[in-house]
Amino acid sequence: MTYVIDTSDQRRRRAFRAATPLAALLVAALLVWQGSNAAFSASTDNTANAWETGNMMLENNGGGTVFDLSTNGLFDENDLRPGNSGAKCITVESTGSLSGDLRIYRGSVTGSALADILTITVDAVEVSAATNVAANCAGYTGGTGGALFNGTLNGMDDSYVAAAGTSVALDGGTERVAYRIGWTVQDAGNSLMDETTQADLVWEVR
Amino acid sequence: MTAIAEKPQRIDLQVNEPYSKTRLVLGLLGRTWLWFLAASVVISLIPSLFGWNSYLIATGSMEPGISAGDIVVSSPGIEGHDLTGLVITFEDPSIEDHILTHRVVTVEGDGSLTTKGDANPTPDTTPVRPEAVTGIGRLLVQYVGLPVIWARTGDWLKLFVFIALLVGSLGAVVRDYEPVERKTPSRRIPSLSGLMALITIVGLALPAMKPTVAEAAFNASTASQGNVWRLANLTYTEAIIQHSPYLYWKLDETGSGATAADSSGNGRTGSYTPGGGSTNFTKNRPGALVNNTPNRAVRLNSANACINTTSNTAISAPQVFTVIAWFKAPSTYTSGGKLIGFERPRTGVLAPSGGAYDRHIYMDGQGRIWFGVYNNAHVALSSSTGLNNNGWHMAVGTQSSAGMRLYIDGVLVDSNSNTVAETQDGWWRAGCGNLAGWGDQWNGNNDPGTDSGTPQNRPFQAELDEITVFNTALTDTQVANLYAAR
Repeated sequence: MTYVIDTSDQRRRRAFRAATPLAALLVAALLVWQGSNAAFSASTDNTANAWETGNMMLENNGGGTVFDLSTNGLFDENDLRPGNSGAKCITVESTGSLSGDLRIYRGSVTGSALADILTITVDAVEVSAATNVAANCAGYTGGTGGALFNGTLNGMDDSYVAAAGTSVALDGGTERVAYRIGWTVQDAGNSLMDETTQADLVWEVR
Repeated sequence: MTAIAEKPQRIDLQVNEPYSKTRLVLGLLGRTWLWFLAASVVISLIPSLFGWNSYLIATGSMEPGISAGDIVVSSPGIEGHDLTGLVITFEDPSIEDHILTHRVVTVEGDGSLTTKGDANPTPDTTPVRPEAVTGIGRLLVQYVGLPVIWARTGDWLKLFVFIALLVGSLGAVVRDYEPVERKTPSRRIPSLSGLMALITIVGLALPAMKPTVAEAAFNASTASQGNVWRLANLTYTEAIIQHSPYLYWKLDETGSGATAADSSGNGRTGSYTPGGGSTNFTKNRPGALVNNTPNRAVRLNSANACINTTSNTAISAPQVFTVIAWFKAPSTYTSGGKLIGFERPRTGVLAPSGGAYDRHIYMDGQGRIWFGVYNNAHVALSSSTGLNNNGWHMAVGTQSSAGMRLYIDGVLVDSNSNTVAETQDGWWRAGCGNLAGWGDQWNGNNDPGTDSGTPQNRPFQAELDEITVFNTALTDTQVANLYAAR
């Protein structure tokens, strides 16, 4: 006859083993509860200290010297006649740590009659992080032919996804891209007058 | 007393040999971790049995709250919720078949939502329609999807370590039993196999209930706001020149000279015939273009007065063209007459057999305006009311492959599909010309009659201004804009 005697040690071990699923479940549930509370609470300022895994940040100089998220219009062109044209430069600075595609597109347009005959060209060139190309384009060394976009203001893409043709690759870190934006009021057959068109220009990186 | 000598019974005491403490600890750790994994997977997937959605977060734009590798469980239905500040899962408005997990920043007036990744400096650029919201974030199961993320991003080292740990944990659990292994294996199998079975079930269920991968995409944007381009208020004359006219007689002359200048820049001057003196013309009359300086017009005083192309070289007949004449006649003027036309010969009129004349705008005896061409028949458009009312009016006729159109004061009043006019060369003229044969297109007094072979000169003995010809057909909009700039 053989008896197997459980030592108290053994019973304790068995109890431990039995307890593990319960403990694990409890911990998992607690973590979910805690994480959900932290993430889904209705708070709107949850931005602080969010940079551990990387970030993206864009600003532009509005054709001047001060970089900001949102700047006043680069263009305020008055008293235009058919055939008139011009160009201005603006510098966009990315200070994010992530790489991505920088693209330019327009916001919604008011005054589409003029926007239909306003030709826009967009060219860009990467400049050093210390370079600030302002509206007068001094120091701009890129092209002028409309390599990124060449069409009417109305025909310009109005979303990041659509504007794939304007991509400039960013590697991450502080980078600046100088944009030259040219415009021409088309000549042929145009009898528009006293028309105004207005649009935001947006740069976005993803 | 008999001492009962008890026969000593032999008892085999088999005391299990002590476990190694290390094995116990490793085994317990392994168990706990495996159960934790299993529980996390179950928690992330069970809600999907009840119509909730589980999303595996692929990127970190919701840091620090939500990281890549976390699973977000969202509940469908957003009615009755104030979404401001809540984390929602939604179909990315800018990419098809792309789920995003971001926080609602503001609910716009039209119900669309402005969203933002917590780690992004600026809100998403495309607003989200309420229909695109797939749910409100409810449960966050952290880290559980990391192996999938590692597999997606090719982070093979981490994935290998994870799998090694998984295998190691299973091993540790098994080894935890080894010291008692020999005799009674049956009792521990259920608990171990329970864990194994759970892992297997979860493993099988995972692909079936696989959570959709949701991006919490990094993005940032910057804007140059309110760029404005504003056109000058072009004068009528500037607008006409903008359209590249073939000839443009503004009739702004003041002296008694015979030359009518061509403002088109093409040098196609006209001649006041017979001479620019006051017998036949009164120049420097108040013109039609109130917003233009100078604003002068000409009155034709005699039946002989006409303004003809000066050059003797015949002009080949255009089949696409626009003719414009501004005119003013008192209500007492009922003899009509030709405002502008293309005619052979250059001056005067010939019998119908020897001449050609069409592309003309003329006024009939009731003051109506007609625009006619000759295409082996008289083809004409007309205004429905008389315009001999002592006011300036703009008459525009166009012919192109789209047909003929007649505009009065910038408004289209009649059109047809005729695309062909007289093919003979000729010369442009204003204020006079043959109308023999156009009697069917005439109302009221002074009917030019049928094509009888008799020349029928119909001078317009009233005021004319801004005689213009284009070898293009202006559009409705262009004509309307021109009139508006008068």
